Amino acid sequence: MGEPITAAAREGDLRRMLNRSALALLWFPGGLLLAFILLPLLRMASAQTWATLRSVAAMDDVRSSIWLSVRSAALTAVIAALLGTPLAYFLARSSGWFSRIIEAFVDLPLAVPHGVAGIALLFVFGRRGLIGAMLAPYGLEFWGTEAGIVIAMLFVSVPFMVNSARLGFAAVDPRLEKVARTLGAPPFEVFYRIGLPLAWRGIMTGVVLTYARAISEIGAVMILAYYPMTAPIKIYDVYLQTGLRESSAIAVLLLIVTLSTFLVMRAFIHANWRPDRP
Amino acid sequence: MSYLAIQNLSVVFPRFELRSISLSLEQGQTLVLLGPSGSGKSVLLETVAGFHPPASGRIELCGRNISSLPPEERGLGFMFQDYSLFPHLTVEKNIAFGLRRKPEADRRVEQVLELLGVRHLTGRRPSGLSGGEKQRVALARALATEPRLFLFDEPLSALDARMREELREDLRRLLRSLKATSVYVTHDRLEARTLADVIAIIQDGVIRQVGQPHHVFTNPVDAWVAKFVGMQVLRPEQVEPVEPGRVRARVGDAILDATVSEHVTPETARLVFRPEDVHLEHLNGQMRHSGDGFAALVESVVPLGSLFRIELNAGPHFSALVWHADYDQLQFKPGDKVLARLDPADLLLVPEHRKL
Repeated sequence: MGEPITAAAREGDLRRMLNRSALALLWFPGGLLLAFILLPLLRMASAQTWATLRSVAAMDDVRSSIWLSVRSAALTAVIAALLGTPLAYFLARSSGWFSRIIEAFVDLPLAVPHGVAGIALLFVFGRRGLIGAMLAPYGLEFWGTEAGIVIAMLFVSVPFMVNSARLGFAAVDPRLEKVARTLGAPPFEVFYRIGLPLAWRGIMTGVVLTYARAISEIGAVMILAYYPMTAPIKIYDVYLQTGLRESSAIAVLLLIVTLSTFLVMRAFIHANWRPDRP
Repeated sequence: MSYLAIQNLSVVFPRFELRSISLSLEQGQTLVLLGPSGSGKSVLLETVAGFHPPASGRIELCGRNISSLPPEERGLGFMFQDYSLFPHLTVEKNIAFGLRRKPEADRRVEQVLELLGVRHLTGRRPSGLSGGEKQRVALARALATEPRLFLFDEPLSALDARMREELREDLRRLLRSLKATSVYVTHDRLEARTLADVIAIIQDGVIRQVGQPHHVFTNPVDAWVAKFVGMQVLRPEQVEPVEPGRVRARVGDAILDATVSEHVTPETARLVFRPEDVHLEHLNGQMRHSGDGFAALVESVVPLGSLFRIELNAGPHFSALVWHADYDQLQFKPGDKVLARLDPADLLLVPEHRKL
């Protein structure tokens, strides 16, 4: 009688082990993906010498292009938040076909090739474009200016803002807003006393993603405003003129700046107040 | 004139409507809207609160037509399931939410904190409160704005049985002591019976019956309401009038006298009774045909706290509820032969579904 039981037990052990290793197998594609993301960045960073980094960082045109990128991307994120948050609120609070169409419009920049976006923007913000020609007499020009950089960044990054904020608002229990109404708060007051603070993290996530997307944009920016050079354009420019060594040094600098601002912002959001915490 | 008067109210949605709802409520009373899920009771409550525009009809509160006012101008206190306290605000700020002018607001917050016994919670966040504390803070928050009417939308439905019972009692005492007028939505008939001064049974957007709890629970207008309030329903094979208000009905082998309050066509007639009104006794020896009750076989015995549900087979199947003390004495077991008697006053003949 002892023999079959041991065999069955052994078979059970084997099956459990296989099950466990099958689950472990799921880590393999994930690990591959992580390596794919990290390897190029780490390899590029490790190829730099401290001396080249310092000498590149000391160059005025490099510094000003990085600073221009940070400034424009930050401004883009602020504008996106101001324009995108109210739209996100409406989208989160309505469910009809109309709002679904608007959601599709908001996502459109994700599907438009960025070169195409730049050319389309030229038609509106170029020197002879619809709005460009209208505002030029007042001194606001977009072609080859910082304003143009922000416009191009905004176009390609605003879906991240609207979608994050929309998810943030959608997670707010509508019953809280109803209760606030019955307590005497009109709709706008409900928005800024209940919706806004409770969706805060979604909105800030949108700001960070918008910033990150904006600072990395090159295609649309290049067409609307090649000069003044943002950091990605500068890197591309240097790469064409002098090659990999110098351009990769600037790239690592930009990476350090982008990553550090990104990490600081993320830390800020997560350290911030959480509704589920007493 | 009633304190709250809902007159001929209709609300239309693409796939659902509330049809000509008329209800009234006196000051200090609690009206319970009782119905299955999807019956429209929450929609009715939200319409009173101002979240759905009525297609027709009107809502009057204290003699004033409030049908077209936005929710923030109706002066109501609304309480949802789990009470919807604002998670980002402290208890004190939750309570002060609806108060505008600062010095008065502080005094009012103090007052309601005292009244509901939640002063010790002021600095806490809602996530750190127990169910009972949440209930009191939510009541305090509503009370601070001095609402003329409290609206409750299944506030206890997400709780476990013990908490639900505890909070239901607490709420009942609070509503009485505050002399609050309230409309309370639930699908739980025990909750309805505990809290209500008036019960309205709602089904598919229509009020099926309104009345005092005891009356609704013992005199349903039709078999649907009877079943919903926990009565047993049997289909008689033959019905003949005996005298005004009294009929004799045959169910299986049993001949039973029943009370009838309005004309019922024989095809749609149903016998209804409360399971706790069934008197059970052991039948010793032969199963016998009886004129005043059912000879039945005990199929199973289900303990329900202080009651036992005895499931019976007398041809038709039905249940009886027996008190613990009686059960101890009589000890019914599956397979026992019993005689189930019903007082003619407790056995009603009603239509299957009353036309409205």
